[in-house]
Amino acid sequence: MPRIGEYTEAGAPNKESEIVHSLDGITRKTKLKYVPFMVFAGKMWPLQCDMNGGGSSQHAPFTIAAINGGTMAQIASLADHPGIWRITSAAGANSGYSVVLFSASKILIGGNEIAEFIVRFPSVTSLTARGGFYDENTMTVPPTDGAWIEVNGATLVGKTANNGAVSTTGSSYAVSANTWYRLKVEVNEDATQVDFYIYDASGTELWSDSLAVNIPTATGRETDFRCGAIKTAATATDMMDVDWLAFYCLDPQTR
Amino acid sequence: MAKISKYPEDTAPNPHKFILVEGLARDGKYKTKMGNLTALAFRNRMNPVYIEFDVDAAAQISPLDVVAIGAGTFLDITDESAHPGVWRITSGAAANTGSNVTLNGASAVLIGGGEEAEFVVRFPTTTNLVARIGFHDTLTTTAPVDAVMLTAAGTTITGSCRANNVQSNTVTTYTISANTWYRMKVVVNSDATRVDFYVYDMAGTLLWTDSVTTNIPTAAGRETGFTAQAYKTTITAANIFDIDWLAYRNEKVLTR
Repeated sequence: MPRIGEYTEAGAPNKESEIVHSLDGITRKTKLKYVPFMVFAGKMWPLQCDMNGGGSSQHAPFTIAAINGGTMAQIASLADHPGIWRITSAAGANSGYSVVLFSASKILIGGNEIAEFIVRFPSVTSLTARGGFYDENTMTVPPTDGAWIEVNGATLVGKTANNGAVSTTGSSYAVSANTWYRLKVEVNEDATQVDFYIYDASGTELWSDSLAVNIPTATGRETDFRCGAIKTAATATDMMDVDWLAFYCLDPQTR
Repeated sequence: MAKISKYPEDTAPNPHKFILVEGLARDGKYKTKMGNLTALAFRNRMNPVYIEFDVDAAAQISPLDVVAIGAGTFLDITDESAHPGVWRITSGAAANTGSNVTLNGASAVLIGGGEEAEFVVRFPTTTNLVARIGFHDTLTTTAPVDAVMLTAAGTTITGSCRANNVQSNTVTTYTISANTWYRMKVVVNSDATRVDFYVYDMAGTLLWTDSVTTNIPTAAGRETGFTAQAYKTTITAANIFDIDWLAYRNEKVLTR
């Protein structure tokens, strides 16, 4: 029996798919006649990328942006990580790369925004990495507006920024080099709290904390969706591997 | 009672949305929560790659890309009602020219079980045709190093697995006709011990299937790509390959 959430394709083409789900505690297999083909104007379509394109322009809708001569290139896939791109610093200090959605601040946090990243840090020495909503690409100064996870060396924290005023979670988590993590930034439904999570590859939550101040929600406080890494020291080093990233919103849009 | 598949929006924020589905229960129709289906990104599943080719520029088929072989071209042609968006590979005047539509990375895929490649294609001519579709790591006329693919050589379709240049082929083959639409499928089983190859007609009738269980490239270092490639081995410009749709999925639940 397939697991709940799995779907199986009908034998003939152009027939409906089936999805296995639970109803009243009973596992059922149901035909979903139109769901895969529906368009949902009332909900932002999830933006996600498996990073399995081989060229720098093959990560739509995301793009990649260099920081001070760093590089970002595809490396060998793994069976559980289909498509990996690696950020490598250059010989100069503060170099790396970012994956970005916009080239300017265009996301206004309104509630229920979620950013997720599956990443690995080949080295944490002199590492600065970020993932989430933020509007600054050099990573040497704080963003003006945002809600993001930041890693400095091996120390991971959550941060918010509102017009330059930055708050940091009270606790932190120590990441290990060469270990896959899933990082998650989740804005609550009325944008009064941001929760930060880190999970291991099996889905076990390793750490979480939250912030309820300096969440940038006012007009003019738009931000961006990004993840990236630099090395603050002047050495070329593999800094961050990106397997998957997603930006989605649980809040129905009035449109 | 809402219509089947109607998608009513809840007024409360952040719910698991209700969607009405047609059930298999004896009472017929029921309403069930399918929140994850529409609202969330699926980290445990590879995001399916599929292209309808109803665009007119290579930049519009991301994450795929177009890589020419010599002076071959790959361009949008007139749609058909049942094929909304068709691109055509045409060979150049020189021999061994054509094109690829590809993830454009020889290490994009490590076969681990559950991978599926599917293509709706037509061959305007099969004379001196070579086409390779599925998971392989060549963008030239050179044979791939690692592959799980269907190959058309003239009118003969063969399924192949290839690990570090050692190849196993299906025992049987299928003879294709020029100017006929086919759906072709490459399916790796869940533990990557067997690859099944299929050819269907446009009515969904299975025309041919066979499988291979050796030389499936699963080891580290045996990464491959996802590519549909066609070229003509002789010196004549000809239309050799039309593609309407392709998909790369992974049925595996990923641990990540």
